[in-house]
Amino acid sequence: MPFKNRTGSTSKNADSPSQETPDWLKKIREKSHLEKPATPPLGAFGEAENRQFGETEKPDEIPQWLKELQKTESPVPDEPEKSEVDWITRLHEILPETPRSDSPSTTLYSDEELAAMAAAARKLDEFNRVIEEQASTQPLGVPPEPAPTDFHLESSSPAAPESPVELEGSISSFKPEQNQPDSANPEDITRDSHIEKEPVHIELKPTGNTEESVPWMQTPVMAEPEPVSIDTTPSEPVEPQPNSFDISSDKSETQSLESGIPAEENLPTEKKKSFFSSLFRKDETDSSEDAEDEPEDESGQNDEAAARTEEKPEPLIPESVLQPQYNRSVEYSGRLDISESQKASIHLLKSMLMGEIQPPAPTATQSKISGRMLRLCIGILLLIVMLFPLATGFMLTDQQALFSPGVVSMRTAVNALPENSPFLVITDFEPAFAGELKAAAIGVIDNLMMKNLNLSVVSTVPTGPALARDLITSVRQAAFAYPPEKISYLGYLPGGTTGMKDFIHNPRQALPLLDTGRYAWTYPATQDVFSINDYAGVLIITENTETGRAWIEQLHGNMADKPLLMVVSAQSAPLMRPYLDSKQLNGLIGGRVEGAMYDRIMEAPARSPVITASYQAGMLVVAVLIILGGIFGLFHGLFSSRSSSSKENWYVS
Amino acid sequence: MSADTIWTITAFALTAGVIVSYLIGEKYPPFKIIANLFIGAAAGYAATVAIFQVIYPRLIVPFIFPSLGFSQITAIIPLVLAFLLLFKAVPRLSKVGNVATGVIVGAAAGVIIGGALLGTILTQAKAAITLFDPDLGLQSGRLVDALFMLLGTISTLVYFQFGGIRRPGKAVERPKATRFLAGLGKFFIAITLGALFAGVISSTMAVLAERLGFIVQTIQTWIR
Repeated sequence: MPFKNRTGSTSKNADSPSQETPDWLKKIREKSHLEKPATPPLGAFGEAENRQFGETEKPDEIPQWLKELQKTESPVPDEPEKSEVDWITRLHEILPETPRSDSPSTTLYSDEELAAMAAAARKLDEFNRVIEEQASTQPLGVPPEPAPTDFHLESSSPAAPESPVELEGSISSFKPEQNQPDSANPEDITRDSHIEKEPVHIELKPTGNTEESVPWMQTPVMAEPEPVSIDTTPSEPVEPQPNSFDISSDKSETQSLESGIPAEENLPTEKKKSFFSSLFRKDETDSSEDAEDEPEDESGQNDEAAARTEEKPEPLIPESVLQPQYNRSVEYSGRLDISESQKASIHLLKSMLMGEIQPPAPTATQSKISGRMLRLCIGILLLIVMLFPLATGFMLTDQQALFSPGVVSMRTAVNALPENSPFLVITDFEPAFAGELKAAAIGVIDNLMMKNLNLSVVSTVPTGPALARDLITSVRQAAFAYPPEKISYLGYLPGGTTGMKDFIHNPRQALPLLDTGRYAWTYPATQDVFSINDYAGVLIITENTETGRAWIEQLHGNMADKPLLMVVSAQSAPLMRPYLDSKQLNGLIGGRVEGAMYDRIMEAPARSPVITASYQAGMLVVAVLIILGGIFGLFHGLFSSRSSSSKENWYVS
Repeated sequence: MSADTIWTITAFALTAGVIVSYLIGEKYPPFKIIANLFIGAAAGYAATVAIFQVIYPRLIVPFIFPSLGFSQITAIIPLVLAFLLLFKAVPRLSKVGNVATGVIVGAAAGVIIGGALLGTILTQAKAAITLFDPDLGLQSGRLVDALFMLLGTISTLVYFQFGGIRRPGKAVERPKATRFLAGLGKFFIAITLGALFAGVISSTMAVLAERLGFIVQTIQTWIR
């Protein structure tokens, strides 16, 4: 049984008789029997391995058996495809009107030529199909050609030729000199501008009706063409061909001849590439050059074809997306018969790829009013409303008559403090909240001063000592200032929660010095303090919930029967309220409103009522804006949900 | 009023006014300048406080003035730990500073956990139970408060229970009772967050009113 070796040459099977063995093979066998080992010598062990890559053996190092083999080796027979191609090159002899091709048959074609060839091939296919349907006999090995489902050669003349004469006439019009594509659309046929001009080589299948067929149609046709497979992988590294649809088939010659297209194997090495991939692509530059080189035909079909060529198809995947992997863009092929569902799938895949590669674009605000403009409008409205009471002294509401439980408890606890006793004030708030906390705590501080308490001021925030000085000095005017010896600023207590624990455990060791650098515990305000229990009570002023909770937790159980008071900002008051309910706090003031409550319960004149009126006006405006915004959001959500649901229905339908 | 005082007040008023220009945009150059000015001033003040109230009196004074009664041995420990912390700045030697970091984190964790357990969890639980103490007498208002608090506490805890039942052929889902209580807990959580949000707005408006009052007062001082 003959078999093909890698070079394509056929050789006999090993079981064939010896008399059929060629002479050159006989000599090898005889030589191999004489020499030991039987296999060709490879030289000393490691000799070949030590040789550098690419280094060839010296001629004198060639063994004798190989020299003889070189002498006796018969020339390599031509590849059998050569004989198959030869008749293609001699097609002009079969087709008288087909000019002789001096150039190799593997050269490429121009757009118009390919268009004409494709149209002719289409006609041939349809003609064969018609004949096969009518044929009483059918040649062996020529099954009905499977119709490609994914692509096909489009022709502007859908009707099959009715007779071989008409077919021959159509083929004769494919002369490359004339460049007159019959009626085919070049855009539908090919876009490869690299294709060079080449005479048309056509092979026609023999049909059962041999009497009517011309002699050249009796040329044996290759075996059954296999279904066309599409390879979407990039081409070989010699010349990268991105997204080329390589059409591979064992009988590519047959297919190429059937379609009037040269086989891929016949292409020169430097131009060897997928032929169909070249058909599927278009190089605009070369195309324009070809268009300039080619004269216009009389019918003006080239103009129409050029106009169609100028319509650049929609890119399947943006070039920027594929740039890291491929260097050529992918385009919709005019030859692809793509249905609407397939286009939808392509778009879906494209969107998926884009979503994977590109970051999601920021969602554009659909509001007609920009965020900055809205913010500016709200800000200006707030400023106007809040400045009005400040400028005119207009009071929006009267003072509150009800008091919160925390304020009442605070008042009770402060009144119960013994006079001239040491009292600890903790100022753990940031400068941003100084305006609120000063207004909330100033009444309590003033009440403590009325008790003539010896105040020790400490802070776990670095900016706390300065804010504490500002707070205490702003309670009273200079003429009624609190005696300095009654206040000791212990300064900054480092360490956070650990520092709190240290201070509660041993105040003198934790803070030995005042913030002025003097020894703290010989000062009149602190000289009677040796432990935390020596303080008559503790007032914590903070806007931080965590800090306030940490002080409560660390002081828990260490100050028996001593009041623990707290002034917090309005944002922390809800979270501190449970400690008041659980009696861990003996007084709680939350924010500016409850600070004003404390002044009122102390029957003191209201402090800065104008600022309080401004605050109330601002809160009123904010409340109205929140309500209006909620109503707008409610209706907007309702309408948007309806519109979105209608959109979904539209997509579903 | 002295010129220095007037200039100081004017400067503060100008800076406060420029801060309001945030309405135009946070990238507005005057706003960025004033914001950086405040940040720099706060950082500089904090550094000064740390140097003169922490490092100097606690690390240097005990060695320079031992006669004041400071224990040098006690001062060596934080000095060594602080020195080890400096190795954190060198990536190759950062592990050397882990000792000091471990001491800080471990001590803080012990203090915080102990305080939270004794000062918050046990005391709050005890306070919640006390509301149902019959010895305190039956008061309708207090009982309603207690029941409302109990319901809110339980439903909020149930909301964070994400376990479910797996039935064949169906997705894992919560039991009906859990879903009901979780929905109720969501309501309580929404009320709590709303109260916190209102508190944030209240604090912000108080600060804004105080600053606007300061600006108006400064302008009135100019006019007079």
